[in-house]
Amino acid sequence: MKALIAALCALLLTLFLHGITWRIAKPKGEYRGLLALCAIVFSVFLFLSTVAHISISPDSFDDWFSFALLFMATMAAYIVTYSAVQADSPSMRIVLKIDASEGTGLSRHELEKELNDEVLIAPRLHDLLVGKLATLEAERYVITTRGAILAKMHIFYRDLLKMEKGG
Amino acid sequence: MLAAEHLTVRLAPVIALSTCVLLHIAISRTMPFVSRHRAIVASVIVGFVAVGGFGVWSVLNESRATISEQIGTLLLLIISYLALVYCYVFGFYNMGESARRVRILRELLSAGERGMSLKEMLQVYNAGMILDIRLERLATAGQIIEKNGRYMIGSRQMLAAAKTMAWLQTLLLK
Repeated sequence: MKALIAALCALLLTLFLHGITWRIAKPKGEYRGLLALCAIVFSVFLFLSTVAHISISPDSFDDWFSFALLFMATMAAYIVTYSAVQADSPSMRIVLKIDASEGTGLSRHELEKELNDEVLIAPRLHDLLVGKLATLEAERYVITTRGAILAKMHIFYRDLLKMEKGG
Repeated sequence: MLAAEHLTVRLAPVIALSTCVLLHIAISRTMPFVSRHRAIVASVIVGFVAVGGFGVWSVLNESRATISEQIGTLLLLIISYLALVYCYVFGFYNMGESARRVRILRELLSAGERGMSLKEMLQVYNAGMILDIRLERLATAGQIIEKNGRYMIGSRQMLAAAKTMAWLQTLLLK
């Protein structure tokens, strides 16, 4: 029970710090920032357990293992959700725009006027540059080693599932 | 319980996730007639049963543990598994299925060191294509319906998810 409570407290603390920090000074590398927050909170709990001997923190190997697994799993789930929130799903934008039409619906042409390349493609290209998954060289987008690894991983996985290119 | 058994129980969420992933791959490869949605749901459920089984086994073998410790162990295993499988479904599987960043990276990988200009990228992947794919998916899933060339809301599940996402955007990004 100690590991469960500690992990949930660590998660809540991280979310709180995320909310506060992003409002004061949102880092350019948001995901690195989130990982740094996780590391800080994990270190805080390590300190609480080993130096301050606070009862809420894990104190046996079993508890630490379970705490680490649960905290990392829930933080990973949070980061995945944040990525989806930040990326602004086209499917969700479509249904929201149709809903906003108040029953009259929208034609494909009307949807395309608002959901164009500037809205759907340009921000994602920018994300790749910020995340160092691609670079811009003489106005050409070139994939980096990190980007290539990620792309190959997804290609391998899609081939394993016998599925076509996504997007 | 022996130390090795303890470790096995602690690793149960990871073992259950592995089971889910392997089963998902097996179904996708050998049963293409099974819809993608059903394949992933079935795999997640089997993984859940696996982690639940580990949890129950742990509880039955730890006779010295109190009721609250037993409940804590069970909850810990289940929540860890659910978080991990959420990452797999939405962070990995769904990314390959619909993430624009992944698709753009795949196109850039094909281009190699030469890279692609914005114009070249938009010739192979653009907003029009994204719209076509998403409208088809939404229509197939019944989330939107087409009447006289105009799209209307069908089932409201995606709309509910979209409104939740919009609320989260306000909370986290603004």
